[in-house]
Amino acid sequence: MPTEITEKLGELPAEEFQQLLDGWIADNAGVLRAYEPDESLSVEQVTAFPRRYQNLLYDAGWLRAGWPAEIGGTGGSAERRAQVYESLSAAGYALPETLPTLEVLIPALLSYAPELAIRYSPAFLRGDELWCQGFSETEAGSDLAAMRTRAKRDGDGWVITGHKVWNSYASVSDRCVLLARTGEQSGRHRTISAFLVDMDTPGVQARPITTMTGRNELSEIYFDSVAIPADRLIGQENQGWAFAMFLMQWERGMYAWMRQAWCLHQLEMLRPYITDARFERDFGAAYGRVTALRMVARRTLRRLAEGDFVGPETSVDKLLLSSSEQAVLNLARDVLRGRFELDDSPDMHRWRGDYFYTRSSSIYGGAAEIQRDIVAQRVLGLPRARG
Amino acid sequence: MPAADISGEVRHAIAAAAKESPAFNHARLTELGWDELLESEPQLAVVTLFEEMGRLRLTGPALDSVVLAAVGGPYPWATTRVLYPVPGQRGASLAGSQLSGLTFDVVDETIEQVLCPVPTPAGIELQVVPASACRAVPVGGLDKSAGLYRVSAEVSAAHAASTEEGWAAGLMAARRALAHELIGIAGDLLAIAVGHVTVREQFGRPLGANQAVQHSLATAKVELSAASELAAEAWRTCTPLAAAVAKGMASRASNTIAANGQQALGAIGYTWEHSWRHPLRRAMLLSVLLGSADECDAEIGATLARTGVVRIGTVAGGQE
Repeated sequence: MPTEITEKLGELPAEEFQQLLDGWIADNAGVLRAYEPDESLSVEQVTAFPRRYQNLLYDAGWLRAGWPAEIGGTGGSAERRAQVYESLSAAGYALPETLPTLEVLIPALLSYAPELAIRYSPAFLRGDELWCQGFSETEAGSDLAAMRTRAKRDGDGWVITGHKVWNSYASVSDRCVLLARTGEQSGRHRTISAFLVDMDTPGVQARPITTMTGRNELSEIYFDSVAIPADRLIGQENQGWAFAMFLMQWERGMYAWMRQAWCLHQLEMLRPYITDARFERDFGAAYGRVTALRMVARRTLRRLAEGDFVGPETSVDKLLLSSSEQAVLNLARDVLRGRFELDDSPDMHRWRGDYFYTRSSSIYGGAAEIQRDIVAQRVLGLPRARG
Repeated sequence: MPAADISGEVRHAIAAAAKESPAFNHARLTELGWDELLESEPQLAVVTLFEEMGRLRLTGPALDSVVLAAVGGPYPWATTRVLYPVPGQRGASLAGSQLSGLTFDVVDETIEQVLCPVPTPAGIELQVVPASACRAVPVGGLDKSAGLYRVSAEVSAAHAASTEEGWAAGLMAARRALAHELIGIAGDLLAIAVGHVTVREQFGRPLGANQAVQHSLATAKVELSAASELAAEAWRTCTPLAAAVAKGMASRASNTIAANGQQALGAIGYTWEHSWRHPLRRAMLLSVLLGSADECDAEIGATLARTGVVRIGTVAGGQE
């Protein structure tokens, strides 16, 4: 595509953008097929691989549309990004595995620390860098506000000491968006701040954790007196909780949108196996649930794109996200029975990997139980649970 | 006038009229200006009326007007009834030359014809049966207050005439309207359950302060939100598929809310005295009309397995 078109992709109206996008995907089938996911790759191999894939999509202009010019984007609504993710999925291509993290971290950074975003996120967007999230701890999972990793002021900068866990891709990441305690432990969510930490800073050590899918995509990270400069504080001191909540909204909007696009393609791949009436019914039920997710994700995404702060009702989105993915992969296990349990083909390896991966969607980003608490107490107005 | 204001006015008028009687026959709906509203603002009209019909448990042949508008053809609502398949059937039931189904109002001398979806080897065909050939008997059963009639007709070649119009458009419109009616009832059911667990105390605290109770009702709320979004989408994506998804999810949501709400109400919800049974029975009835949750799922699954997975709506679509 000519550079003058690539440079203004983001500003194109939805329909025109879609036409160019569909044309590009069709013309580049051969190139895109080389980036099929391979479950047998380790996280080290896998992250090298989507980075090249991300470079490709970036250079073609598709990962620049919908982002501001300050970070390498070509402007326009976040809906352009959603169009790209949907169209790649609909054509049967996996998205670069690095994108979900990018889609939650960059919007939050742009809002809370535009200077840091401008300086550092272009490399992340291009695919030259990979970032991770450092939120959970062994004693702070669902109760995130109980975190103990501490950031102490030291002269001009901060010194961080502590331990994070369940961090996607941390062992191969270049930077980490970290939450740490900057006041009294008893201050809970009021004394947490967010930082951007380089993973090669002395004292940072990430160790991969192999998940039940068989891949080592998670990590734990140790911070041993890690000195970072003052300008790596994201937003204001003790604003970390607000930053994290802002970030979670994007997990409801854009990430949920990516997952519904993916789920619909999984259903398409299961179609040849829908051979009897019971499977048809379950297929229809899973499709209905994914379509409901599609609708709520789009609504949330639109509100985010317009700059609204979306409220507790997006816990509904998260619950639909986990129940949809699990319904689709439960169906896969059911219709592929025999092969799912016994075959070593790459296909079955992938179905098993995805089946296990979808078990995590009701746990990460606030477990389903936490989401139901929020819906009950803050949407339905039921009294806070005690004891 | 902005749509929200019109909708508010219509709701107000319906609520006021409902105080006199829940039976909204042709004359009363006409008095409310229903025909004009349905013609000028079909979505606003159907969403508003049917959600209120659900919430206030109104009865009457409003669904016929929606079906007739979708089907087209020379069948005035004032003199036409639509016959709906009994639950579990896709078209009118046939036994020899005897055809039967349900109507939402009596077939009296004001009615000239009954439009019947009749199963044929080629699919469901709409046939016009003269009202004079029909016999209507009030339906008892689960919800006597629903105002249903069981209509049977002796059909002979001389009587029944096939129409140019297909049933598919009518079914789509009817499912969409029923989805809204179910959403109205389900909202009422959920409000009753939430109200109960907020005030009823055991162990010195409201029932609703217990996580098990909260989660059960939160699950119900998720289903209701899913149903509402899908019903709204069925107006942007006007396809039989989108309408089937909307009706299926509305039926499933009302089933979940009925079950979880019933449990939350405890013993009082088990009594005849408690008002819960009214919306419960209406929800149970409407959830199986024109396709239960499972029937819609099966139909959607069979269709998509054949045609390929369809992505309903686009990211740029759905602007209000």
